[in-house]
Amino acid sequence: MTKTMLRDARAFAEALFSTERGAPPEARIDWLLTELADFTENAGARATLILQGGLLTASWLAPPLIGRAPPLARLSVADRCRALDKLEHTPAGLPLLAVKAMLCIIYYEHPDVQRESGITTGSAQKTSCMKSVTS
Amino acid sequence: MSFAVERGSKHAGDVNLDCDDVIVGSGAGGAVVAALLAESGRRVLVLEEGPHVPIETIQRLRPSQHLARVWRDGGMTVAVGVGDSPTINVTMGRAVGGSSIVTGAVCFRTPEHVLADWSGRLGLRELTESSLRPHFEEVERAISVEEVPEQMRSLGTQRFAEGAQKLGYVMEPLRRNTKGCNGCGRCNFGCPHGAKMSVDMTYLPRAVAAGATIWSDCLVDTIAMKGGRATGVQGRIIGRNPGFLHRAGRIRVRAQRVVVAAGAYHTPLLLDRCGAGKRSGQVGRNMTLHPSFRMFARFEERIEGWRGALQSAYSRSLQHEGLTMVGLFVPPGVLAATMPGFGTEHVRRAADIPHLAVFGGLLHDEAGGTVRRGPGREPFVTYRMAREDRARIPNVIRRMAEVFFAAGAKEVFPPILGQPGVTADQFARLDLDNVPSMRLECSSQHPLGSARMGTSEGTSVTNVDGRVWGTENLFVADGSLVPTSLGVNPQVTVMALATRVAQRMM
Repeated sequence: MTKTMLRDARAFAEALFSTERGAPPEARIDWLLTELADFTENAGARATLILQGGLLTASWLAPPLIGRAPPLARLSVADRCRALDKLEHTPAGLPLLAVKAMLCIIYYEHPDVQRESGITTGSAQKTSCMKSVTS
Repeated sequence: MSFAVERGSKHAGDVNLDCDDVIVGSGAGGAVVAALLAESGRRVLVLEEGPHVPIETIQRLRPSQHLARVWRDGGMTVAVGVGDSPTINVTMGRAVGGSSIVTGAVCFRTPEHVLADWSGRLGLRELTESSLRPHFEEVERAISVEEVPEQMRSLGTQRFAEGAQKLGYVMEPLRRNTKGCNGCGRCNFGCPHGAKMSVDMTYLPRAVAAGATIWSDCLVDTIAMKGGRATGVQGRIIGRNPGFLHRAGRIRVRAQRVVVAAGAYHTPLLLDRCGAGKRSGQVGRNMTLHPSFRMFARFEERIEGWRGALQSAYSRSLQHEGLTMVGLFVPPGVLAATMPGFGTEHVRRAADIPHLAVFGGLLHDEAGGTVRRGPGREPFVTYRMAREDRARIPNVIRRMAEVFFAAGAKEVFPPILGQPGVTADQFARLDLDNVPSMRLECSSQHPLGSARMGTSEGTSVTNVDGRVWGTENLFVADGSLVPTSLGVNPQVTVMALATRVAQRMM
């Protein structure tokens, strides 16, 4: 993943998973981005392109919807949420789905997130959750 | 079950091979043909574009890792909607074992009314229920098809069944290719217990035991033709990071016969590149997808839909409306992804995941898909949904919501982008007939028919034996052959037709 893609993914993820207390712990977002990089490395060019398209759309089209200048990463977490929420309800919201889906699939595999969300699939504990499989 | 696979990526330089029959693709169709031809004494070579991910590795993968390594495009392949059609997320496998390793293991024989249509209207008189029965039986034995016991149903499926009963719909148990399943709900993402009898557990080990060779990481670019005869295939080895100064190795295979089983997205591309079947004008056309729509429902009680078989029951009570309702579950992360909103609102909704039940509705569609050459080597697929099918979508959504509300659901989450959960009263006020196609969440796991079989060159790509019109020794043996939509999961149909193709080749 390029630096820009990582920056945009971080800005997106911090907003998506933020609560009243703010963005999730930095270590968790770091883990999420490491896993996302592993995903793009293995899933191939088209998957990366789709994610990149979604992140670009979010980064550049969302801020103007709340009267702010892009990119998304410049905005506060609260403003990012407002901007992305607006974008999601427009026809341009479709590309966001791929980004949201991939980030959610990975994020909800984290054992702490599963515990906090009452998810008891146990798959994270059984498998090598915190470490990428390289074979 | 382990079996030997030659990893193309481990071979430096070019590779030249020779065999009797080369099979492109190792999924449900290719694996069956490989096993049967090898067991009949032929020297068989199988080339698979994807990697070989042994079951021991698959068992350790989390869903996201499985998506990245085993699914084509990480699960993000689409058929672009044309006109008033939704864009459809089409999921396929890309590994030794093909899509059979990413299915929910659901097994249906081809419905009798579909076979009646094939043998009647389409004139495929050889494809009757009685003539295909021995093939169905052989396949079902080989992949251990068994009924899902009622006690293995998830609570979500139980609740849906209760609602269905109140509305007079009949729920029936699904049959799946499993052995020793304990219902952990992870079939799509690699069975952690090796209980799913996909072709990497059944037909491929048989093929190797009978002398077949399987090469992974080999991307076939073209079929070599001389007049009406296929003489082999050519392609390249997909190496990992070959480096700036190193080109990927080439692979050339000389063979007496070529079988294309690369799936409904890629088989027509291979035929198109070598000009086979071109005169028919049908290569890449007539694709059906079974466009599918999910419905989530929130219950007061904890559902924990991940406990129980991923897919265990279905209803064909609405078959006359072109709708099959099939039970399923999806990983919590996917459920979360469909929750609208960002930040606090999203997290609050995602906290309801343990209370969500899921069911799916599958449309028995008319052919609307077209496969064309896209940029690079990948296909560009469009889908123009038939007007009648498009008109059915609101009904699909309505029916599934009604069942969940009858079962006591507090809210349902229709498959509409950005749509929050709605109560029964709110749902009744939704203008489902006017939801723009771009806002519909639609998926497909069953691309079929893009090189369909038929009775004449003018209307089909292959004859009823899978041989491409105008060629002597080029065959198709995958979902591309299936001449119409089935209305049910196609795994067993594809394998039965592949069995028939292989037997005709012997």
